[in-house]
Amino acid sequence: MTVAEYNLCVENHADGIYRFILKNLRDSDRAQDVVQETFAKLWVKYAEVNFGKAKSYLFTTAYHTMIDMIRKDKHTDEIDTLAAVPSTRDEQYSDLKEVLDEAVNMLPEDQRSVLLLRDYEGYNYKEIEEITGLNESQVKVYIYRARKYLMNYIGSMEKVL
Amino acid sequence: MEINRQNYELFAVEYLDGKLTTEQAAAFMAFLAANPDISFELEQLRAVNYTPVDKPVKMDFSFMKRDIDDATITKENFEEMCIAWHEGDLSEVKREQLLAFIGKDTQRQNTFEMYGILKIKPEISVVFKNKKSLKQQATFKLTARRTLLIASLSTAAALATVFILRNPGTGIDNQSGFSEVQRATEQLAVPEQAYTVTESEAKTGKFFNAERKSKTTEPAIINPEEDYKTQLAVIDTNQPEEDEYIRISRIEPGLIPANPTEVKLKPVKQIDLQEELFMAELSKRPVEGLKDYGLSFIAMAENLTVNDIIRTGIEGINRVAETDILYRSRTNSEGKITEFALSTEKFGMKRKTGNN
Repeated sequence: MTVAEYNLCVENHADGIYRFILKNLRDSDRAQDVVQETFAKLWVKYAEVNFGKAKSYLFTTAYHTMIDMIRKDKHTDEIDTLAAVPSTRDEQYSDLKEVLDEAVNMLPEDQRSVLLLRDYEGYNYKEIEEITGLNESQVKVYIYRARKYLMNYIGSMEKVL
Repeated sequence: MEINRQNYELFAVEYLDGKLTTEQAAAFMAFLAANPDISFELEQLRAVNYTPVDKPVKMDFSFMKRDIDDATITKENFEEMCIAWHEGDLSEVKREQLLAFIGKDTQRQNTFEMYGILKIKPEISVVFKNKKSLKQQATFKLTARRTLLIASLSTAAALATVFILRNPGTGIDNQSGFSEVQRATEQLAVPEQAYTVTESEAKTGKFFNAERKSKTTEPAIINPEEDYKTQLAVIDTNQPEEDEYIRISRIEPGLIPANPTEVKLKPVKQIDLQEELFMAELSKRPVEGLKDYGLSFIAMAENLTVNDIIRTGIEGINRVAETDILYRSRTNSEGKITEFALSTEKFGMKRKTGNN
């Protein structure tokens, strides 16, 4: 891609990547670091990256940068512990988004990532496979598993007015 | 990696694919044994038969592993079918079967609808605020340089045109097809600016000005005493904010007094520094190869010749467009051009100026 196309990528994808990473990490500073690092990596290789595939390249890079960051910072345990909390809610919610957000935060890391790629960016299984390095079956399983988790968390339609 | 409740599906799928090592498979079996609820769930889903790893079976951890259309819709896999519907994984036939399965059962209807709305929507209001920091300075610099270079070329061309028109002795036909030159003479609808001449400028006759302006700041003249290259360096080290622009001015030829203390500069080019323009500029013209931007154009009122201006313009065009246009000319004893030619490998053009 050209330098102009690189900057166009910043305009078009920085927000989406930031949302994706922020939703995973729940830490705006670290999410910004991931975005910065992702685009820095793209800049190093911008001449070799096809502009049409730049978005996929960016999300792939961001995803793996995030995973590396989690591992390096040894936050995995903390996040896993949080994600492992089994929960269904008995509370009454007035906002589906609120409870969905809470449920998504409870998802295991892999499930949350693939679900966000699916829902936020509309990626298909194959694309998510390429981004995450999981195989297509795993991606599918994780998405289905995540949906069921959300459903179980929310409990029933009656809890969401 | 230790198998736990968060990652066991990964091992299940790997197991089905026959990719687990003997140790991993044994660990997976042990995990299932230690987690009866998961074993039960698997059994519910697919009648799992846990046999030793050396005798792998179609554990059928999930019907997602095989063609979903092969699965019969049951109350056990109903939720997965609902998910599959909303994920777009079901064929038309299977969709009809699922609707028939739901029928008028209120609970099933609710479950089906609920899965339909369990989509996570991105919060559009959440944005990465500092996009500017992601954009590459090199891009801006190159663009700024190139844009300013082009501005200087325009200025050169404008000067050449005006000079030629006001000096009919050169004999160059105004209709000679230099459309670029003619376009460059289009002036901005901005008033002339009174410009106080410094002592050194009065001596050298340099009256070329680049101002950097924004909505919130007063115009600041960028080193009018410095040469053009230096001006570029100054601009490069002061990255523009939004809505900023650089206005290029030059003196109106023929209005330079013998000992000037003040001249009127005519703005000839206003460069919008907003990124959209840069992007547009970049998309129109390649910037690669523009490494040497040392085009130093200064309106030397006393000794600047038409040849100087044209040669400068051609050199700049060659650098920007990576062309190899040759310019040759003949002058008479008075230094006036009598003949000139432009040529490349593909074409050549020769024109007599018609005088002398």
